[in-house]
Amino acid sequence: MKHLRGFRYAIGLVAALALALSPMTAFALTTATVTIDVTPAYVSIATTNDTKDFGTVAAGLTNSTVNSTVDYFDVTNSGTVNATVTIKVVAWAHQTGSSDWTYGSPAADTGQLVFSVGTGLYDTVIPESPATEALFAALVPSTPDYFEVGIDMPTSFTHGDKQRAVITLTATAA
Amino acid sequence: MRARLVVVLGIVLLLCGCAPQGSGIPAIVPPAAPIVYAGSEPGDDNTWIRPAIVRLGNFEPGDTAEYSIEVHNGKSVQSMYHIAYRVPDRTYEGFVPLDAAGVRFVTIEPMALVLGPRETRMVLITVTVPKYETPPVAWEFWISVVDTEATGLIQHELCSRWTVMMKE
Repeated sequence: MKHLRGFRYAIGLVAALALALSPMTAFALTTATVTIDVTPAYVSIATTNDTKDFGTVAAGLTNSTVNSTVDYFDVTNSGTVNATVTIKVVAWAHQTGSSDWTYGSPAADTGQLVFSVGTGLYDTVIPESPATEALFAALVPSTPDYFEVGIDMPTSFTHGDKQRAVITLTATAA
Repeated sequence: MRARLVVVLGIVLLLCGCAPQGSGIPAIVPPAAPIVYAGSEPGDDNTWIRPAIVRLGNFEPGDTAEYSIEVHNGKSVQSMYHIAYRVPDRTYEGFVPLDAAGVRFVTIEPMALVLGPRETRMVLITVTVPKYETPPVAWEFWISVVDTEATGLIQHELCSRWTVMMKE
């Protein structure tokens, strides 16, 4: 009888210790309800200066040391959350004539755009869509930031058709 | 007597969480809500979308969830906007990007909007995972909004981030 009482005490003690030491875990009842949690914030960016004409540039020039200005493009986060902004470009398209350049590292009829953020180094290639490159990690609302774009010209031309490439800035909540 | 004690102690230890774990992967937590800057709402002359983030939880195959995003044309002229499913460039920690095939889980209605000057309209996003599908435990996709009539060298794509956590 005494042994049985001691055994019960042991069980009680161990159970109490277990309850005291175990992590507090809540077991929710199963439910079929899908939860939706929304951050009702605005995503919006604005660019005042949205065009750049490099003019006539010689073959083989890189980083557009000609016709380029540091901090040329401005981006303002006009939303209500910090915004991550990435940059990409759509392939070259002819504006005159009928031939397009190929987008990529300089070669015959092949060129690319490069950018930097206020350094004037033009050291990062703007990738062709759908690839993207980080531009601003967390752009604070109402505070503009700046970047500049240069061009790595083709090494040679087989035609003189004027080219255009559109840059897309993608903004999301950071 | 001693055997009984050992058995009871074993059971208690198991209940305490001392049992071998199925995996060492830490639990995925929903992304934290970002700081929202009150008072910096965009004006009528800014193009914007809202909300920035939508988090779906407790989701399981066979479930459907709906939520609408707003799209505002900040221009003084009419413009067309294209709304599309987008593979994310990055994700919240623990979430995996749903690839292009993930578009089968998402319905967008309408996928194109013609908005008048300063006009705002709603776009209904429906997420459905069929019962026979087994998506990742936590995944993310984006809803992309692009002004297809923008003419400048710099154009904008605004994205709403959507995260989905499946019921485990």
